[in-house]
Amino acid sequence: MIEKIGMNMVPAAGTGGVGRSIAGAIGNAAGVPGANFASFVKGFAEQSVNATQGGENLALKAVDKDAELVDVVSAVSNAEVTLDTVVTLRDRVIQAYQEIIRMPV
Amino acid sequence: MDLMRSIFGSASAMKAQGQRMEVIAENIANADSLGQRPGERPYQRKTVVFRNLLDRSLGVNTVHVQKVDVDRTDFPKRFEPGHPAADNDGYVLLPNVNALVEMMDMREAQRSYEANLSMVETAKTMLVKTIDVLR
Repeated sequence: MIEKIGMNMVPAAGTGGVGRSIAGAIGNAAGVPGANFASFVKGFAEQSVNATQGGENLALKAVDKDAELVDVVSAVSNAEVTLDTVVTLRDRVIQAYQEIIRMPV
Repeated sequence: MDLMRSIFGSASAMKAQGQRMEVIAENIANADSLGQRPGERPYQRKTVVFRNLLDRSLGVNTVHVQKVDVDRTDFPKRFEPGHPAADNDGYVLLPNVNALVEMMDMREAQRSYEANLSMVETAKTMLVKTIDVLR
């Protein structure tokens, strides 16, 4: 009985099943095809880097008086929210992994 | 993201109100700009015309200033024979700027700006609170 449960549970959790399911759910929602944790993090990191760069470019332009302050604020807010999403989701997935690692076998 | 799009839509309105403030400032600044010679026209009041514009990359109807037009009402006159711009009867043409109207326009621009700012703040709070659910 115990063996059976163990056999069913360990491979599913041990091979990144949790990460895959979370990443898959997020990936589908965000249009990212990657189905594993690494590609999910990579995709979202790229997205947040792009958003941050957009915000920084506009901020630099604003210093040169080439950009509207409102544009800078909305671009930086966009970058902030994107980064916030990535960091929170990463923490959440890592937390799931850690809980699996701490599981007494 | 819908909320992010609404932020960009409100940002366009804030930009438009900023341009409106620019025109109002110009009108108030030039409320006493007169001609230099007889027959020369004084400063003519400017008005802004707003128009909705579909931003295809966002899919949002944004606002922009379509054109800055001039107010075609007649110039008021003041009897001032000593002025260099005075006509044969001694009258000088004054700018058709009414300080009270400009003040009301300014307040309207301010309120509209504040409304859109609240919109941005609320949308951002909603986004952040949604992310906070995961924490």
